[in-house]
Amino acid sequence: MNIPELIKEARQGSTAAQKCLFDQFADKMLMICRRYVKMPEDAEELMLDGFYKFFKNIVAFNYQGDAALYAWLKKIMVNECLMFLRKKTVFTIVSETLADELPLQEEALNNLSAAEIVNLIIQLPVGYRTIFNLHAIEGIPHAEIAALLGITEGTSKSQLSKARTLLQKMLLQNQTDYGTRKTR
Amino acid sequence: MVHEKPDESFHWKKRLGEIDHLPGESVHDKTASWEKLHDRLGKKPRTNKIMWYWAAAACLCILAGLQWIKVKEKDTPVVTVEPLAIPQRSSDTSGIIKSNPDAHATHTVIKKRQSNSIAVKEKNKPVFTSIGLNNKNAAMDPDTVKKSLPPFIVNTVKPVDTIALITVAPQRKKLRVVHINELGKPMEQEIQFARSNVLPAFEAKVFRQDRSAGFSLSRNFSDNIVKIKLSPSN
Repeated sequence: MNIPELIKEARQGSTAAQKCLFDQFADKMLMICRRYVKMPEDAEELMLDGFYKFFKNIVAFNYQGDAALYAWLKKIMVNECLMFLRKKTVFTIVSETLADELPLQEEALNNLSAAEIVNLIIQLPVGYRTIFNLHAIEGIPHAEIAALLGITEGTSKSQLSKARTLLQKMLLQNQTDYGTRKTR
Repeated sequence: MVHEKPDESFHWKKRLGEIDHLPGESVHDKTASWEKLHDRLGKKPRTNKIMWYWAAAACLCILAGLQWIKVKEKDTPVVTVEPLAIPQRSSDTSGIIKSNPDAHATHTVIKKRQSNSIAVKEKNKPVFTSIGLNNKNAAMDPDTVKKSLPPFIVNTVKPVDTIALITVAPQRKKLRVVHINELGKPMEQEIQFARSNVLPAFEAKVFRQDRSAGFSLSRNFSDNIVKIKLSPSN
């Protein structure tokens, strides 16, 4: 059974179709939640909340392709994560001050595996991580991020800059560790 | 740095979407997650239930309140008492005495009953109204009232002893107002007597002349007896 049929069945309340859709997208959605929320339990809970909303509002969803479905699901998950973070995080407070700014080398990230990149992102402080995810990965402009998180555009930009610097430092550290491990 | 171009680093971002789980972490248990989700989907939202509970509680409260008001209305004693007939007294006291104190007291009691809608038991006798009686002015005798009423009413309606329920302030004792002339002769006779020139005389025996008053008693004095005539001025 392909995705349009599953969507059609799920709209009519078929539990089997809903389960098929869940099995198909659950892991990827969980990884999205993991990028925003550090704790795996919280991420799973947010993923379930997102799927609950998806199945409740599936009647309003107009299927226009697999990519559209994936984008819609992803948007739901990101919104759930932001709602969760808004309750717990004050984004205006900068937790770390960095003296010098190091530009992030994108090529260095290309050399890393997806799991390594995710692990690096998870290690970022919550403010940096959220804005890096939203701007650098999702491609949301600063003005929209500012509106979403209730901060100023300047704060969003500075947080992103600091996130990049910290990532670069972490990359450099990883390279050194990797080098030392190799020499040993 | 700030003016980064997302398209340039497309490949590493694309790879982020392909990953299913992090290495070193346990694989996500989809079945358990699905069970949780399925339970949630099967349940109705909590808020609706709570709303219905609140609505039901409010309805119960309103019904209980209405019931209580009804019961309270039923329990409130509303007794309308028609004015009782005042028993006519003998005419021997009419005249100088302005009003009969007993009758006055009865009137005040009736007024209190009318104003407060309270039935008061008088002299341990049940209160009967004059409904259905031809002679309203006649004194109410319980036996006559019972006889005049149809038998089913006499059997069903019983006089209620309300004295136990209602406390009435003790009636003020009004002193009997007596005209001063009541002590002597009737007023009219006194007036006629005063108008007439015939003044009454009485005799006073004077035993010791030297102790008498300063006026001369020589004219009326005879054998130690003084005849004094009262003038209208006296």
